[in-house]
Amino acid sequence: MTERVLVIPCSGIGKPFGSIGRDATFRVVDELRRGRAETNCLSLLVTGDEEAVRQVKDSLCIAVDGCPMECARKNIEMAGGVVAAHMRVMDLLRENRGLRPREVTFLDGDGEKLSAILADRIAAKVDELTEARR
Amino acid sequence: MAEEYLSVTVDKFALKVRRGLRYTRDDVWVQQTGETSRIGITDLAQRMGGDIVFVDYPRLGRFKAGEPLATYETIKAVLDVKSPFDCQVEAFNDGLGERPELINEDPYGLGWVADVVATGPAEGLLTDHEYFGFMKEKAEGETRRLKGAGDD
Amino acid sequence: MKLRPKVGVVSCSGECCGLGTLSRVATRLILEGVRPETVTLCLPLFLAGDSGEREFAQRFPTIPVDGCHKQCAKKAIEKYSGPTAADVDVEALLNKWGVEAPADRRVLDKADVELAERVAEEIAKRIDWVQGGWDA
Repeated sequence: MTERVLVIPCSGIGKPFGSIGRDATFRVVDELRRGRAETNCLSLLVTGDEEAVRQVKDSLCIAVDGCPMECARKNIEMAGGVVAAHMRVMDLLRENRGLRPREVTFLDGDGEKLSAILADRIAAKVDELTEARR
Repeated sequence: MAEEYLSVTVDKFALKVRRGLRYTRDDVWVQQTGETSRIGITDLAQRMGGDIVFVDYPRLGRFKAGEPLATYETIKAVLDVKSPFDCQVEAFNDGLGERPELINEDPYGLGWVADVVATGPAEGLLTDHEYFGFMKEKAEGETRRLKGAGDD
Repeated sequence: MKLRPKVGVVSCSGECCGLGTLSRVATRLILEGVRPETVTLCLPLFLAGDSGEREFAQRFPTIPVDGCHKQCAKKAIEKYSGPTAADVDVEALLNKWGVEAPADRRVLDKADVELAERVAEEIAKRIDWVQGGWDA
């Protein structure tokens, strides 16, 4: 199994939740936990790309889903991967009732705030998973 | 299972009306069992509202026809579940507190909203076929409006 | 009277690089104003969802917008629904124009957004071609 944790967002294109999950994932893998967490295209799992499927099976995966359709979790499991942690943006919204993210293409202020909160959660989970592995 | 519903596809969405229930033009369904009626919102209502994040119940007790007896909140708006007739609310679906998305996933089943007892006549309710016709017009009209606004 | 058929657009939204972000933003621009009558389909739902996405792509012409040569959107449509109506390969477009992909996959700068608008115009051309019109 690889050292790094794999964070897979759903990147759902129809709702702000998909954009928020995607944005938070990039914050984690490109900034907060650079070198310790990585991501890959969920699309590759949809098409059954061999390399992507191998990577998912070989990693501890964090699925970041926007909505109850749970595409990231389902596609990871269908590829034979283990979802070590599952986060749903909608659940985070319920904990932060004052936030109303509306924009999908480019996050608005509330979307950015929720992304930052989610990114911290994902980063903490990356730490927990890598610590547990030692 | 497929015959349990009347169904129409608008764009990529299959909209369903459950057979055997009664309906209001406020997109509320009513399932009468003896003196008690179970109510909820229709597939169209949950689809148009979007992902439901909260469900709130103001109180048990009496409500007039058309009065909001519950609200549900999405990222788009706070929307009302309007009482289908004069009634006394006996119970709300507690499961929606933890999982409000049950309304989106199963609006005619696990996503029920309240159990009520009518305190006045249950008038003006639509049959399943009548509501189906109403729903189709409303859905197609809404699709045309959203396409003009560039929404998904 | 010309009838314009419904058209679906599926973006790869790939997370591996800026090309996925460019595809996603260009597709969203189509929906938000360039051609608002199109229907945007969510790629992961082709496998994980109920049959709505797959059935739409079977019934109506659908255009994949792929970030790179792996062409996940095109492959998914062909695998789960049927042939695509027209394709957009963003990596190939950028090579043709001699421009670089966005360096940051999270935040697009002004030049990247203008590039997304250019890609959106290419998507629009294909939508118009597909919707060439049926004489009633």
